[in-house]
Amino acid sequence: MDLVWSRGESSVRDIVERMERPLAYTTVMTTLDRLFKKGLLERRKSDRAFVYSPQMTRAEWEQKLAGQLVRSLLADRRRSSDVLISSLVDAVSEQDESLLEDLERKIRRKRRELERQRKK
Amino acid sequence: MSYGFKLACVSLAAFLIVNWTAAMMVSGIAPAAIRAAAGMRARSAARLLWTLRMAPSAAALLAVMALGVPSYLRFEPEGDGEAVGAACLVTALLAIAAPLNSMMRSARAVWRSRRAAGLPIAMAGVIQPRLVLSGEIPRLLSSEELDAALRHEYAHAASRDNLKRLLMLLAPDSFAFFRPLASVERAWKKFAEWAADDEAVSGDRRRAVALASALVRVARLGAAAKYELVTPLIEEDLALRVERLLDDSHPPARPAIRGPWTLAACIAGLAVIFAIILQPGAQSGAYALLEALIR
Repeated sequence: MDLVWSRGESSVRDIVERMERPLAYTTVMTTLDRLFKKGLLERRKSDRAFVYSPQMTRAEWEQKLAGQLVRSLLADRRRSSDVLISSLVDAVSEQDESLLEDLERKIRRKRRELERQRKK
Repeated sequence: MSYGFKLACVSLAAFLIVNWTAAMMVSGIAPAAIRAAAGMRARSAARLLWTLRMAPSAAALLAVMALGVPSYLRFEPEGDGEAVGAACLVTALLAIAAPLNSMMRSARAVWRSRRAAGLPIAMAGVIQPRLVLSGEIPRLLSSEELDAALRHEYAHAASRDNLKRLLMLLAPDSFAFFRPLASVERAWKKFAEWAADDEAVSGDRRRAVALASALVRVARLGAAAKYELVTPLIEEDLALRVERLLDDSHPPARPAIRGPWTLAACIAGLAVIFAIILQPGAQSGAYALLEALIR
């Protein structure tokens, strides 16, 4: 999925060529076919081969996955949903904080870069 | 059964069927359209996606008003005692429910957006959008950041994004919990934000950094209330927007489709539609379909 998301439309051969770990053509073909049947990829015929593209963006997939995970955790009555929700809120706050700090670092770096260019 | 009642039932049912068929067709091409939009300038992408989102309702309205109603008035004899079938009646009731739901959502959204309280910076209002600015914002942002943030909000006002949001709320696309055009709407929101960013920045890299910085500073204030008809400075995808603003290589070079080309495309589209409507057999064909629907 990572390769299809980063590259867009890809044939089996494209994926095989870009795999970090060498895999057989048929293994990749079967995997892509399974991802298509699971609704994660869509495909069209080009010449005699299928060309695959993602059915949803990475963000949409992550959102769907997170939703499923949270629903499955909350559906388990043996667990206290309050504890789960409060852990989730803590995790989100920590994530937000680190994300904002990361963005601020990037902005500072860009400002310095622009300043240097202005002085040249 | 009265002539007018039958006309209302059959028109509503036809609207629902055409709207749904068109919505399913648009949802089929939506992934490809969203991918194509990613290669365009943000404003062109937003325009394309908004047109796609509105197309099913516009097509349904046009089919009913330009073909369905005239053909019924021309061919349907008065007082023939023909009753409206159960399927047509149920479809008409469903057709009332969908726009009624949309109208109630829209009315609620308009009412809620009148105050737009609890927002740090936003553009509120549909016909005459006004800027909402909390007292802490001028203290929080530098003059350069505030200027970039205000330019972003005025870009939303200039492109009438709140009016577009209202029209999307009014155009029914939902059936129970299934919304076939939800992905198009989400993509439109993203590209409308990017377009307002691009217009606020106008190619000035310093201003792009100032806007990115304003976004992060406002995000630090925490989550704000959400209103359907208010465009806040930050809605979602904060990281993506900031990184896009800091990236010198955007926007993509493909030119925006506008001006004479847009006008020519609209005229050509209307010409094709009227050519179909004015075909000698079009009205009788439409009437035959309506008759089948009534029974």
